[in-house]
Amino acid sequence: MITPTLLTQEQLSRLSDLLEARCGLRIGDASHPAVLEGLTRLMAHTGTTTFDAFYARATELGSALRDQLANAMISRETAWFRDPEGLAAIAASVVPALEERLACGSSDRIRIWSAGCSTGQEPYSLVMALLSQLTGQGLGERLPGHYEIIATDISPSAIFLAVAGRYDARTLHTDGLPADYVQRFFQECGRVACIRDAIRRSVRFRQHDLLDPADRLAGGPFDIVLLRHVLEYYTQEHQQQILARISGAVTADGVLFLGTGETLPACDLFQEVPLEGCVCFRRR
Amino acid sequence: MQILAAERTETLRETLREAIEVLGHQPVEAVDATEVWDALTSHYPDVALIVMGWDPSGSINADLIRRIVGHERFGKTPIVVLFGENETAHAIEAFQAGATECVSRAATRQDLLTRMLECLGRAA
Repeated sequence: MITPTLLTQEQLSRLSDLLEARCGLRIGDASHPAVLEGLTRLMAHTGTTTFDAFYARATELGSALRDQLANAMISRETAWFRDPEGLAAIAASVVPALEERLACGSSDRIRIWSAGCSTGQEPYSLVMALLSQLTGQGLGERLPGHYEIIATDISPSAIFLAVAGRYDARTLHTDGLPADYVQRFFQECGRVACIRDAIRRSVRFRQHDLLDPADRLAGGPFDIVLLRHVLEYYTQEHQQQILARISGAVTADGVLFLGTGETLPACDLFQEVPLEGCVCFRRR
Repeated sequence: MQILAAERTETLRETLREAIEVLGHQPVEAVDATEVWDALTSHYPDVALIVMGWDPSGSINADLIRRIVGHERFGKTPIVVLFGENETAHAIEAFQAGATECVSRAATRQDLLTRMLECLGRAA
């Protein structure tokens, strides 16, 4: 029997190349615990006991490979208010300009897309940030009617959990969620904290593969797209495809947010715009 | 429906309790093979999924999986096995014995929940 941690760097490198070539998935640091966890599960699934046997099996899986590998290798790591400076910038800088547009009647709603939303923490955090900002301006009641927030993920299980909006109460308190937000936006029931209906109904969740055309997310172009800590799982070629699809899915002055520390892959579709505490990328 | 959490340590049982309730199911707990069998028998047919922490030095192991899988009433209940880091051999052994899915004890909560959900879907 072998364990992933006993794989040589050369073997991990061969596997990484295979994933990139066949699936468009980039596993990055092959010694990362999440990658090793996925690899362990895959090896166990295939029942192979040597690297060569596993590698041969992986090359034979054909079209089923992508889904299987994607499901096994992609970690659903997420958190409440992850990269809070981005959410704060949306609420404090981007949305006020969009609100002005609404006020002068040049548009009737603000559309936001949380792409790669995992189990819902990102879009729900965004709703909380927006509600706090809008309520502070006496505009809290505007969110249901004037904001359309679409959240997508490739995993149907992640979407199911996001729609349910049920989380374990203990992690809410340890995951960086402000204490008053827990009281305000959740209903705690024993070990489970349910996101309040008003928040849950503010987000529409869909299963969506970022490599598929974004026009399947019907309803018009988006003003804001959050694509945070997602591109890192894809090869350069697929990153370009995803960015092209997003560029085609945003309004003329739509903006894209990446995760803190992420850089936009070289492309001429977006230009960097500095905001307070972070940057976003505006469509050229 | 109920989900049976078979795990020797209280800490991980607590984590499983939370996960099961987040999924909207009722947890049933066991600390060894004897309790697993008692729970399956007394709660039949309400246990929709079994999550077990692999314990090769105890009784939550491949023999228990084979016994469940081979049983005429419990045999179709999906089984998720939690294994430790560097325990690929145990995960392979669990799959060979009939486990439906294996998840690392170091996996994120989201990963554990989605794997359990996928297994519940397979049982539906």
